[in-house]
Amino acid sequence: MIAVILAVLSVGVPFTLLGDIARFWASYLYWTLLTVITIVIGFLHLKGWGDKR
Amino acid sequence: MNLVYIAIALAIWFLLGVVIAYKARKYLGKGMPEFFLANRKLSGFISGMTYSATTFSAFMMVGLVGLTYSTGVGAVGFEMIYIIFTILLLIIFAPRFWVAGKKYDIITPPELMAKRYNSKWVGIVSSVICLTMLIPYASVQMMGVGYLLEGMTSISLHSFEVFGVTISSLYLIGVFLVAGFSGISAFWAGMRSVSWTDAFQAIIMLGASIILVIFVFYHFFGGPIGFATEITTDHSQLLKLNWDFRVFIGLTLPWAFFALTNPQVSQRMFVSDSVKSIKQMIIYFSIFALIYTVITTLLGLSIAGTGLLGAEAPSDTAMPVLLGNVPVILALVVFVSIFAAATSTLSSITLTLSSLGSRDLVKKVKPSISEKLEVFSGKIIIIVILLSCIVFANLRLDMIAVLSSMASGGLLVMAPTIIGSFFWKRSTTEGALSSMAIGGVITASMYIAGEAYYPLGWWPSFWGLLITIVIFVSVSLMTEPPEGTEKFLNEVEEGVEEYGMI
Repeated sequence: MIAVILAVLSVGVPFTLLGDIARFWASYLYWTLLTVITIVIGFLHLKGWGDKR
Repeated sequence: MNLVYIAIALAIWFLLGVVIAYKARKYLGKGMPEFFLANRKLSGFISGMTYSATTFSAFMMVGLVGLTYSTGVGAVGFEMIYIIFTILLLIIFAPRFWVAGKKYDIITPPELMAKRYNSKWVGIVSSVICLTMLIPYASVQMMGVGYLLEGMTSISLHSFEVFGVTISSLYLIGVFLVAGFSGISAFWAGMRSVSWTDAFQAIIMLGASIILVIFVFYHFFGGPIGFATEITTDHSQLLKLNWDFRVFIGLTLPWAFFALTNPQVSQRMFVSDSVKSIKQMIIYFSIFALIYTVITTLLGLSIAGTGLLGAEAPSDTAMPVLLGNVPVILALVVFVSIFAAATSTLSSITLTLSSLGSRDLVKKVKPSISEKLEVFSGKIIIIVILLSCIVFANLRLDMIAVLSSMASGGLLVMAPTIIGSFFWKRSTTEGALSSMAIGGVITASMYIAGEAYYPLGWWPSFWGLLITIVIFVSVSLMTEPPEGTEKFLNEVEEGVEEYGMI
């Protein structure tokens, strides 16, 4: 489910909404921010991991 | 550029790398896990750096820079999607690979598949796919360095004929230098020396690219604002997404699943010494990947802004041309960093393929072989792989380009089998074998036939994955899961829970 949401966000949005905008804040910034958000969510998830042994 | 400067820079890099590999050798123990997985004792930092250096080859500073320079922001998307999916896949699969690796003493990704599907043939087929796809890809790393060395110098040394092909001495020196360094780091102490030298090379790669982008911004544009203004006003077409959707999907799909399907990176999910180290590996990789991708794509856009290249110049010449217009010392550092990127990828592929050869082919053909002989056969395979790559690189066949682009798409046919092994208990041995074999042959045939024959204009990676999923699911539903499936899945999930990695 997460993979499907990520696929739509990472491919669908740039190709339908941002593709024609010739500015840094469009596709370039969108993809970079999406990656940063994924990394932050990933870090938060990893915080919950713990070595119980 | 003066050949003497290049020789001095490469000599320093080579010596430092060899010293690190030698140090790693002192810690080498006995046995297969020790040689091929550093006895599963790598720290988080080293795991993260070896993962990064293995993933990112010379493609980033040469290929991706050129691709962004010529096609714009689409190149950013395809690389960022790779990072997003790799983080997701690592969070989901690294705990399971790691737990299964420790529990069943598994060394290679195909061995993991063989265990889950209870069939040595699953391991053999996936190993053959990996060897077929990755040897040409490894050869291209050598060729890239050979071309770069040739292109960076204006000096023409002696040329001679090999197999009817004229080869310059510089090209050959580049090929042998990369092969030699990779051989030393893989042969001496296996994963331990490869991962240590990878960490050293990753630091060079990132450091050099940061210095270069800062220099380019201030030297050519007066600063980042000047760069952004120049691109937005005079090269705004590069900020539009002008890639064909089918090409984008065709290129992006194999990269999205790269973390699972490429054994040289998926094997790194076995090497961490603790849960903390796995976490750190994912964190270090994420940060490295984001910074390196932003820098390389900004470099690609900035080369367009400098106007250094003519309109008809091939995209792969973008970085060499830029390096010809920066101070010599900076050009040398970046040049060495590209060498480092190629070498770290090559040594990791070589070591992983040798583990596949000794563990999943030699051991399966002759199960009674001792562990000492198994390691020895792995070392022999390292030499055979590097010699094969040298021959491939010197043939400079057109076919190599096809085979190397086939590598990523071809390996994608293993994705359903790998995902199914942990998350679909109905998946069967027959489903795994038929989907990988038929999917692999169909995908390879499409690549060889060429772009004119791609059905409906969609790339082989798209068709290959689609066909593989259909075969994997339908054949699995028609057959019975292998004996031990429930036990395998329960034990892995219990292990993941026990270590607190949910």
